[in-house]
Amino acid sequence: MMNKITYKLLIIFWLTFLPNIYASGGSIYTRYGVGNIFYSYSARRMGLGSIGTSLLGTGDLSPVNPASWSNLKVTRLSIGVGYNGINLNDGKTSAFYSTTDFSGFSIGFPVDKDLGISFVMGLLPFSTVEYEVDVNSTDNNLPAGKYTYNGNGSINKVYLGASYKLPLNFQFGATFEYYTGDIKYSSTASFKEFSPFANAKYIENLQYRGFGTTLGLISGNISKGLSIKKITNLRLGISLNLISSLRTDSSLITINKLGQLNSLSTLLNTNIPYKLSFGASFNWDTDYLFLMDYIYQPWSKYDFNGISSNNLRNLSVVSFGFEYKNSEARYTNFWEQIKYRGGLSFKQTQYYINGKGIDEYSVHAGITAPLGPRSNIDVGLAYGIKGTNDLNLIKENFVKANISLNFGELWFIRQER
Amino acid sequence: MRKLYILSVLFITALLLITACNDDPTSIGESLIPNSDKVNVDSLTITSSKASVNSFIETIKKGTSPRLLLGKYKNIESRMLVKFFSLIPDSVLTPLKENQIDVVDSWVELYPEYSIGDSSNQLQFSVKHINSGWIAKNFVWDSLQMLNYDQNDIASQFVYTDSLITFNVNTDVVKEWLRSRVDDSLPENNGLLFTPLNEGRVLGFQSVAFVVNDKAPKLKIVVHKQGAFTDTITAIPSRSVHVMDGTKPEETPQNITLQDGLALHSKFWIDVTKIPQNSAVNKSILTFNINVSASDEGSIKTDTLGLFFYKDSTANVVDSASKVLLIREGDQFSGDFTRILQRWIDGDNNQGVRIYLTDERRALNKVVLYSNSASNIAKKPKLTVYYTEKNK
Repeated sequence: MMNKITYKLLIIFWLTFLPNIYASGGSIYTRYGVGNIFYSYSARRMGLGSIGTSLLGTGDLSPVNPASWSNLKVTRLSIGVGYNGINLNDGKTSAFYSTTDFSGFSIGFPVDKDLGISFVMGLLPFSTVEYEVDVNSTDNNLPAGKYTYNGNGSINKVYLGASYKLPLNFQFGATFEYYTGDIKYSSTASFKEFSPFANAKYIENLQYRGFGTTLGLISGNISKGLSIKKITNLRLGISLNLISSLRTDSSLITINKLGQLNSLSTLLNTNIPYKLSFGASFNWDTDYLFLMDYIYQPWSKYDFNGISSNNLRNLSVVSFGFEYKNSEARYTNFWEQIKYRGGLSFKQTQYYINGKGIDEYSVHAGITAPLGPRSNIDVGLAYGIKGTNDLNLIKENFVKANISLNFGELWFIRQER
Repeated sequence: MRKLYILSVLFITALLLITACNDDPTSIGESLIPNSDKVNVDSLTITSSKASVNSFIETIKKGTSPRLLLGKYKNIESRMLVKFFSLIPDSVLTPLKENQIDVVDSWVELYPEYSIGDSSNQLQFSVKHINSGWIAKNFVWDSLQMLNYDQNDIASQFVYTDSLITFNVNTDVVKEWLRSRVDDSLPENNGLLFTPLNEGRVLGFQSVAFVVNDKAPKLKIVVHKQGAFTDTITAIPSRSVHVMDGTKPEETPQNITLQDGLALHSKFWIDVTKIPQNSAVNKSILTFNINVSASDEGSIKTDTLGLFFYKDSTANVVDSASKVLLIREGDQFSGDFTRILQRWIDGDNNQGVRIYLTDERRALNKVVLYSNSASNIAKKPKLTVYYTEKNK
């Protein structure tokens, strides 16, 4: 028992303090808006290609639809790390970059299983910006040098939520969220070491603060109304994420030969549009789970300091996923307990550059393996293509991997007297 | 189960290692960088036409100067004070206490290492015995009025060569100095006051602050004990200073006149408003051209100009930590002006800079630079700036 706890603690420590390391270079599309948005947070959901709006949580904690927590049976801790490898191609040259990021943690406590009351809290990434472009100077009147344009940072959210079972077996959930983050865009003119020319750097620093909420609803099992016996557990789900106007502290830092000069910072507002998700899922023949999701987020309504962006459009994501588990698996047989999953996703991203929308296609796969009676490890993989080389745009081939650990413990058990 | 935990850690470690396999950043995506992010390095050459010159005499103390100057040249006179000291061996000290030592001969050797003026003009000067104490560090020209010294000249028999001046010193004075080392009732040795007698030449000698190559002034003393020995003691300066007085040389608006000795400084201002605000200076070079025909320099030319950032040019207050040096090359002084220029761009009030000759304590050069009002545009002070500007 002590060994298991030690291993769990070690892994939690390893994942929690894992820095965003070796990050240099990435998708230039993240320069626009607040960067790439996270829509799924767990390896399981990544493996499904979906966010699973209509899924009731069993082996994982998903903050996508807080209504899913009503099915929580044990105290659960989910924690994960994600890998993102991206190959950029502009039609002439290509480059490969990768990052490893902490993909958040959540902890949930069932309070009343009959009423479906659970409390869940966690820390999750919301968006990320990561790119670096180096351009050699072509001015013959200057010594050899280059211009570097770099963006990095992220917005994260801390949330606290609860679920509740409504009449007709509908599940409802809501969260209270606090968004905070720091994104830097820097532009540097640099020269070779020992050059008599001093480097110069400009950093636009944006610090975000704000609140939000996610409301979710999952229907009861409506398969009973169908005459198809093999279809069970048919549910519909909807979730709405609203974010208040994010207070944004904007400052320009100039770094020159004398050191750092901070200009006066200005308080602005960043308005991130709402996100609406619809989903449906059902079990086929008990062993198979099928689901589909649709996400809509009108990024054309995004604005920074009251100014909307011509490079953002409305986002839509359509995804399909399936999962296989052996419903007759014996607990003594490890391999029988493994779940397999896969999915497809098409995303009309929020980016609209050079008069063309940036679309993304991806395939997904994953497994879940048991770590114990109530704990498991999820591995999710995705491969996709984003963008195009038309109109001087960048085509990205990406590979993503995510590993999530889900620990379930029976805490706060009231002893019958 | 344990294997699964270990596998998890190994998997995460593998992710970290894979992440290390990144290409270096490239130019992919350059065309997608928003215009407002882009920066550009540009250059600008500024030759201001606004009149900007205002010279003044700065009070500087020469107590720590590495060189002593003596002579009269054009608008400046320089006098020097030197106290000689030597270690006396016991073989002399003992008979000295018993007044058995005679000073048979004594002379001073001066080794000029700097000169200005007509080389055919021999420097003539008087040497007088100082009776009152003096402190080199704080001694200025006005301090001479408080100095007590004998009126008679104790130097004689001058011999001049290109590299050496010698003259005899009254042996009675020297003997009294030696005796004062063993007899407290005798007056203390306060050294000698050197005063130039003719015009047209100034010579410089090593001072106590900077002695190299055994070329410091020396006092040679030949001592004799009857029926015992004759020995020569060498005394070197233990305290020395030179003081100057003079008037500002003639100036014209087309020139910036700087002079050593007098410490003639100048205020200089250049218009930098053409450089965009918020730009970062990559490199800037300020260049002054020397008006060679108007300048007057000695055997060692001034090789560096010093500049200070003005906090308040009206009150003549500078930032003493802001010193910038311009190095001479041929008939120009030039150097990196970035530290001062960047302050102006970053918002500090441009009140110009103070310029001075960095050898003002140890030479008597007059360096004349072309000013903003020079008729020849090519000779005007020039500021060449390379700067980075971010698009808005």
